[in-house]
Amino acid sequence: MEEGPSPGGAAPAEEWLETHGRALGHFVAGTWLKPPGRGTLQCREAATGRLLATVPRGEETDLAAAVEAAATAATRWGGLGGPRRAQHLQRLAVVLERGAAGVGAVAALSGGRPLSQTLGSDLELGLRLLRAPAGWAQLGPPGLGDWGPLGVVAVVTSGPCSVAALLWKLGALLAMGNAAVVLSPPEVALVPLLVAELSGEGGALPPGVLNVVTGTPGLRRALRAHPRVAAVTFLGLRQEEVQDAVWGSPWQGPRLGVTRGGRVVVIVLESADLDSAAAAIVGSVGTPPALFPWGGCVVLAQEGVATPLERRLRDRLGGLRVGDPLNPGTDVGPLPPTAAPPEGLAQAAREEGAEVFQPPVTLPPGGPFYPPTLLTGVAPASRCLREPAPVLVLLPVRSPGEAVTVTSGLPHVAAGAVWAQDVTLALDTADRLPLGLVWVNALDPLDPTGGGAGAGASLEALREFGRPPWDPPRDVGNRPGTLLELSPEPVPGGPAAAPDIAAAVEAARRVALGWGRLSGAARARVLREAAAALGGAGTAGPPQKDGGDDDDGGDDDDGGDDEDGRLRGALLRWAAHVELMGGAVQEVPGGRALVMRRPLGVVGVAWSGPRPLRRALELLPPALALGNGLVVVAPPSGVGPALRLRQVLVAAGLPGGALTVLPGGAENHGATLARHRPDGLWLCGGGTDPDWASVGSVAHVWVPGGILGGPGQEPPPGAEQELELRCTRPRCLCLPAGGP
Amino acid sequence: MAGRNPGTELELGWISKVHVNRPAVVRHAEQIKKWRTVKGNWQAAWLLKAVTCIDLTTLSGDDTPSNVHRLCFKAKHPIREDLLKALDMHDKGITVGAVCVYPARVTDAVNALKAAGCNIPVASVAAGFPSGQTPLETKLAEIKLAVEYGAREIDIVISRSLVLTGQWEGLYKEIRQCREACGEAHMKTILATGELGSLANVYKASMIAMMAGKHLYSESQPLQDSAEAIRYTPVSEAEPSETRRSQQCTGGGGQL
Repeated sequence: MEEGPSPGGAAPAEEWLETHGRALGHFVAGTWLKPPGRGTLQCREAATGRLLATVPRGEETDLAAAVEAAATAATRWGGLGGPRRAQHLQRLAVVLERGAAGVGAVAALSGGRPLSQTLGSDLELGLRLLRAPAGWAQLGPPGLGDWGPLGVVAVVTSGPCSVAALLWKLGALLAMGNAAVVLSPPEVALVPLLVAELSGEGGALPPGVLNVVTGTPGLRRALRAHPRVAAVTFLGLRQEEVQDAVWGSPWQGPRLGVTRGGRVVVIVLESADLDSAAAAIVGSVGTPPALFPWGGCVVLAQEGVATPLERRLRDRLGGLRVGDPLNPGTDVGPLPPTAAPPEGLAQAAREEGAEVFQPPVTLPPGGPFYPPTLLTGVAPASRCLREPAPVLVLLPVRSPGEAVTVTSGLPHVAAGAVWAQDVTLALDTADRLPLGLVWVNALDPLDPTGGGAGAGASLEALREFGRPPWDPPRDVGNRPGTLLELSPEPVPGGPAAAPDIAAAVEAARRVALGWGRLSGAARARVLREAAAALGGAGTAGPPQKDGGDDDDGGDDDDGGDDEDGRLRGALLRWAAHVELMGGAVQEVPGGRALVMRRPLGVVGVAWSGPRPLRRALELLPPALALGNGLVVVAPPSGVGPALRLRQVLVAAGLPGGALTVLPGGAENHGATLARHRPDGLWLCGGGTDPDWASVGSVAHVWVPGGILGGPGQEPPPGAEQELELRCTRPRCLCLPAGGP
Repeated sequence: MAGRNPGTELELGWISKVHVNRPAVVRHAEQIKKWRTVKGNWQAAWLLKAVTCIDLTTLSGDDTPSNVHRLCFKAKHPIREDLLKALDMHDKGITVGAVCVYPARVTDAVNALKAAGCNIPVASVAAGFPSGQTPLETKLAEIKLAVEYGAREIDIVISRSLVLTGQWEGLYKEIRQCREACGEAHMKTILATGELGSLANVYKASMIAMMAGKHLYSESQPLQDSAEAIRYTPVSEAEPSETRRSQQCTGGGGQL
């Protein structure tokens, strides 16, 4: 007996396109903008290639109009205040929910994700990610009360962009008071256009707050000419495109954010429920997670259960239904419009001797469909493990420890899951994985917030689009990308050579893991002893008022004692912080999530430069207290105090490699540090800063700016919280609870 | 109908390494409920198919020949004539799969169905249904009597106490003996999953039942109210996988 078709999936989308006569325009300032005489680009259905609608080929003038409209709207929108903005956003969520059938159908038509996903989990997730920042805006986010909006934020969508991903970014940036300009290529343009049109209904968003401009990918270069664009977020960008896409520098240019995608690693241990694990893994292959669509899945199974698991995976893969994404019964849709079929990968795997299993499903004729694929018999060095692709790879491992090691060595991993009924083993393995999001006995639609727009993660998103009170607004006339050339001053002993930095980063990496794993109390003790030693060494003179500016390169005469005093204070404060710091338990739909902060790892502090940050030494205690290893390249004036600090810390018990101080002269070493791939990079050199192209490979780049306050002043309120967040990365462990 | 399941020797190794993660099973069941739907004609067809798989049952203390008679009439005509005509299925012989009663009412059911002139088998519950807390001798005697009275299917209920105390050999022996007592009649095993405590126990009990040679698969939750019937779906989730496994092992097996 057959199941028959389910009708009516695409109707709402087709109706919407018909009302516009299948020729859409840009959406700027609350109305459709169809500039005459533009070329058109075609939006095609993902599954069949049928022409759905045309959109204009945007040009610089269109972009300029959108930025102008956004800038005008942003001043009003930012001035509304949090609670009013929250009301608008909640209204937007209601409007989107009512129009859900249309949004889901459009997403399925143009993006190829099955309707069961776009109408189901995608949209639910997206609405949760929209409501959470609205909730924070209503209450006033803790610690971000003084933060202001950035102004105009550009959202550049380039790859497969699900509704959830778009609403994730839009929700956060709108809640903080910014106005958005969304730039889309035609393949992904229909969803933002529909969302923008819906946002105008019922006064959900004032006109101009959300604008959409369509065009070829080359149009994003035109953004560089707009200094009013204060931040740019890239959605769906592949790793290899990042270098070409970025511009400007962390110091002067717009703030850039790239959502990095990747794969999921699933570790199945001996005591796992194999049937449920296989069901969940195959479920994720069929419908890739909403926010990390590039991925695919790597399964590391303990040897004793690898064969039974493989058998179950093959059975379930054979049961997947590949077909038209608009059929609610389809499990697997076509490949997204900008993805290449992984046939080359499968071929390479065959040549390497791996086994490629593709169940005998009938693919619909025509269209970019690819059967679900399982690769077995591969090695960690195989190509299919080095490159993410929408395939399933199974690798046996001998023990949980080996699974953790293999996972640490895989590139491009976004999240992980551990399946084991033995709770101690499961939690311990999950703990040791170096990933930000780990599921235990589950593998649900993945979002970066770990299962339900957890409070912590939406706060992170808000911080990305807010301006802290100690960062002055960028001067609008300051054109990004201009670099000042200064002649470097000679430094005794010569500037830090590249091999020194390499050795230092290597040593820090070896030591940082152990240092980070120590309990908070152990690290606190080291810091307290160092503070005591520091206090005994110098005499604490009265703090002297320094009337000068803080741009002097290295004038330390205002009182090394005062500096000691401040350092001692910082060491003691952060010792107390780290002892009392704990994670939080979030109740999320379906269970609970443990949200913790973990150290970044190795942080490179590029302190040397023409205008080094005065009190950068005070950045070291929080970083060390929170378990990081540091490589500091110091200016001539800072080397002495830094080495003295290191001496007392090492005497108190800090491992030697955890803090290395190298002389750096007066030139900037940010780019050199970035080349050695630390986990974080802090640019305190001022002036000639390395640009995004050279430091973009580092995940956490930060320009501390005025966070420590002026000379002789207390740090501004909220600074300690910000420092804590900057020295750590979030870690979310999701524990599903029992069923209903 | 499927062939008879001969059963196998008791293999405790099959159940020793079983782990079931209940939240994951529940989630998976919900996914299936949400997204696999049938509409229109296909929905009607599947509903009719479901009717032909029903065991129409009355298991009350106040059953008498008259309400058993009414039940048997309903068994022969489960759907109203005019509805069947509208679906154009009135001549396809749509009846339920069986009629299920207590052993004392089997004779009444057999007579009523014979009078109606249809071949629907009568199934009898046995083995101390519903609680199963009777000695093994009376259970076997009950089965034999029910078969004598004319039941062609026997629905036994397992001893939950054996499952909850982990006496798997005892459970195997008991089901095996019941099966022998059934003789030619088909045997269904009711697992009473609501009282087994965990999905892992459900898995193990059903594996033991399949090893012992049950013919048709059945699980139910007697004495639970209808709201808990929603939990039926997660339980059936745990089943198909090991049904497949047991089919691989016994080479035959019941129909699902």
